[in-house]
Amino acid sequence: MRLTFDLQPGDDRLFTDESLEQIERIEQGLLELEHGLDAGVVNEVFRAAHTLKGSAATIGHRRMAELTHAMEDLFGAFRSGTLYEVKPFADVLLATIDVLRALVAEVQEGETLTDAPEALTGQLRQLLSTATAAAAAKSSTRPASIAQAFQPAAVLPPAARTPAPVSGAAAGTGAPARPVADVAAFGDVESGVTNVAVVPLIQQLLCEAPAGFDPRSLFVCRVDPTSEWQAVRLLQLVMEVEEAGAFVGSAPGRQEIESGMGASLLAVLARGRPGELTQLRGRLAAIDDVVSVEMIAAPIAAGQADVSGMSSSIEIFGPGETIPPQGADRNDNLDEARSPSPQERRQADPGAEARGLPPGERMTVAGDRLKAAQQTIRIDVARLDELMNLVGELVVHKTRLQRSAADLALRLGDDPLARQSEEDSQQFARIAGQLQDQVTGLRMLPIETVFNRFPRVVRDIAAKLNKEVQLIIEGKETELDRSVLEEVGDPLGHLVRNALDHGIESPEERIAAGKTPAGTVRLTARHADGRILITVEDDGRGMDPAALRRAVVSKGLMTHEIAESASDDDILRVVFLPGFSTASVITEVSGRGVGMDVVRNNIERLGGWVDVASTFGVGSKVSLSLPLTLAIIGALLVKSGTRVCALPLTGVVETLRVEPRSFGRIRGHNVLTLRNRVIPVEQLDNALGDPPRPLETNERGFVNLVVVRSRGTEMALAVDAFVGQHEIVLKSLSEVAGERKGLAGATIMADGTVGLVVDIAALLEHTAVVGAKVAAAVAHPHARVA
Amino acid sequence: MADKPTSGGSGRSAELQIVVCELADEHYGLDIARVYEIIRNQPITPVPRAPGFVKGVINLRGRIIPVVDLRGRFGMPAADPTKETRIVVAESGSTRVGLIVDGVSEVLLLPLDAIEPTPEVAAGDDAEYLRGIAKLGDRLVLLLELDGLFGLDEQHVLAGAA
Repeated sequence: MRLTFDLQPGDDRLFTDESLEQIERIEQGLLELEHGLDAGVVNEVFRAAHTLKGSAATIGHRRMAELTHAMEDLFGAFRSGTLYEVKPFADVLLATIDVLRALVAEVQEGETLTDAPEALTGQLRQLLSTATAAAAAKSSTRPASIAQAFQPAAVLPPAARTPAPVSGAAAGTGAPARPVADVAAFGDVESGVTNVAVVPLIQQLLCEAPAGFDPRSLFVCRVDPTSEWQAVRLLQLVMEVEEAGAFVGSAPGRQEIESGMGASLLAVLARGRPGELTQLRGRLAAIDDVVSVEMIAAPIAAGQADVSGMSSSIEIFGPGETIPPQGADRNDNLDEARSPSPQERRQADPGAEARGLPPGERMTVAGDRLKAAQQTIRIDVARLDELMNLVGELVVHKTRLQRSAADLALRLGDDPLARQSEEDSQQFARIAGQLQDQVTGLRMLPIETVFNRFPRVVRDIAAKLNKEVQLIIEGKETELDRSVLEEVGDPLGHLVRNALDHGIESPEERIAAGKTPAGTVRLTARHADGRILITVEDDGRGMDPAALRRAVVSKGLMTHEIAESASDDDILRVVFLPGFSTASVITEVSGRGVGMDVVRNNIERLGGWVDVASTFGVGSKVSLSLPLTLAIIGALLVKSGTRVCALPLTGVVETLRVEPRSFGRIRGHNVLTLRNRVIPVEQLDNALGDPPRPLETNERGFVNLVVVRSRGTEMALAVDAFVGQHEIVLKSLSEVAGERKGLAGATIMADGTVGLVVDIAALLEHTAVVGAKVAAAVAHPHARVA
Repeated sequence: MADKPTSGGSGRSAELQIVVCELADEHYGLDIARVYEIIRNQPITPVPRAPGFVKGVINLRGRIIPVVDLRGRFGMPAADPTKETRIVVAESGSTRVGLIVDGVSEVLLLPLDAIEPTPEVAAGDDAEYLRGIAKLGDRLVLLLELDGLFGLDEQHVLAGAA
């Protein structure tokens, strides 16, 4: 069945992006809450669920709206303190997360992807009602919950209209319970809209309202006293605040309003960022018969003992003023808090005057929303890539311009025009360089986006394996280019899974080994030497070098002699050998291994390296080092045959000029002895796959060689000439030209022609058979070479 | 992309607007809706292990595109570039490729009923990249099917060469 949604074309992406963000927020929150309730996190997931419900309902995604609604209700129960343990609900809530992702995907796919939501919605509702009933039954005996943390630490004496006092939380605090004398001062400050009648309302609210929601504000709303619909309007106001997910409490309370007691004044305590509340105020003021809505910054400190101190922090802001940002929001909301000019106010709400209000009485809702929206914008990744492309072009032309300016200076000598041209080109080069830095920076993202998926992965795998695992993540704010980010997720996932599967032991084994029953997997990221260093570490059983030696010999990957002569550190690296890791080996070596060669290949393809360290019985650590970006790399440019090739500097060891007679020959291949190592020599274009040709020598009879290395294998590439060392922009070769073994891509040279970028790791792998045979024959003349 | 050309004959379904290119003494027609631009011959960087008909790659304003020698693709003898040699940048499948032709002669509006299916004899193994033949006076124009230009066979070649 084809699904249709109430969306403008193109908005589906926006909906998808935003929804997935909220879903991820809920997922992260849930994983945190599983370990213990936290009022802030509960609020966050509640709000995210609420937002999700709202946007699903807006586009008419009924199944999604209902499911999120049920989820929101459940979170609501945690928020109100009815429920206080997330763990029993975690599985079903995480399953809901997965279904929600599918539901979001339905919007783009246009077809039903999951039939689970109906059943899940029912399940969530069922769970909630069962749990609520159970909680009610034993409410007298339940342990301390966050509901108590939400309650004010001190209780005010009942003011004129305060109904039943809140439970005696003050008893234990010993705080002086002083009347809020300062509240009376409201009457002096306020602008004539509020009158002294509001004071008891505020007192009542501050008494009753749970503390701990930061920051919050008080709305004092006045309804036309002559209106027939007073109670309805008050109810509308309360519901509007509830709908925004900002409702904390109101005076009179909802029941009082519903019972029909006539009142024209309402005080509502709401929480949320100043910007959001300002918008909310606009919506409140737009309700019929509402004469005025004042916004007052309310005390924020949770559990504040000195109530008189609280009240003194209450300030009333005149009509048209925004409340100042508070606490942690101070920095985020400077712009939002900027007071709009009178003109702005009038423009933003032309209806204010029409409704008989003095100019500036209403908040500039639309204006503020606009300003908030301008803080960040979403950009299609393709656009960023295109921008990067253009900057790459610009950088190329910068070099050309500099060259022509230098040529001009040479030709004209000391000429004003030449000087001017040189100055201009230098200035241009400087700006182009800055632009390049900025654009490169735009593509940098925190590694968080990759790391964030692991708490869930670890939780699920640990549950499946009946292991207890604690995941520690460090340095998730470390930034790297999205080109690397995209590629690093899979290898990392592999390593984390390996650590859980083969590294961490079962709780029984761990206890027997004298360890804590819960294993630890530590995932860290940091910048080091202009690269990013990522480690995956576990405190599991580690790898047994003796078992690895046996395995590598039995698999025919190494002779007994070589295996025995290798150091323990070196022997660990056999896990990276292709064909080494199979399930049987893994169990035998009791370490890790499936697909480690795939991990190594993927990482090296990115210009990175991977290493492993392990202590048998104590744990293992895999380290990855990656370049921060793949888009711009340092390379040695060389001429080979008819073209220019770029060799990424990460793989270049050195350049040499050698007389042809210093080459040796082994089994038909040229070799060079360098620092007691014998390395094969090959023409670069031959190595890339062009037909063989004899070694070229330069005019002085030397062969130009570039020694390259990848994972311990070295090779000398003969080239026709060295061009120089440059920063190059890596571009992919079109599919039609083929993603060829040995080529990482192409780049545009200063003269506008295309140069080929060599993939040194792949090139060496391609020619490794030759190299390995040569090297082995030299190093172990009597050994049997596999 | 914003610069993707729109169909030249969209309003008149009974006609096809084509770019006529010369290869040796034959005329080939390309659907203008699939042609991005026509550029002069320029230095081409050969790519090792590329299939024979892929001459190499060029830089088209920061984008690297492969260039195919249509003579080579159709098994004609190679020819040195002349003043008339052009590279037609077109869309084949989902890729942008440059096609080297001996020259570009004109842009034509072709009535669809002037197009005849490719005769068996002329088609041979290459039927998948020929869309049909149009008779224009005494000239025969072979209409190229760009999507078929690098069919499964060529993907095999590419894979084998890698």
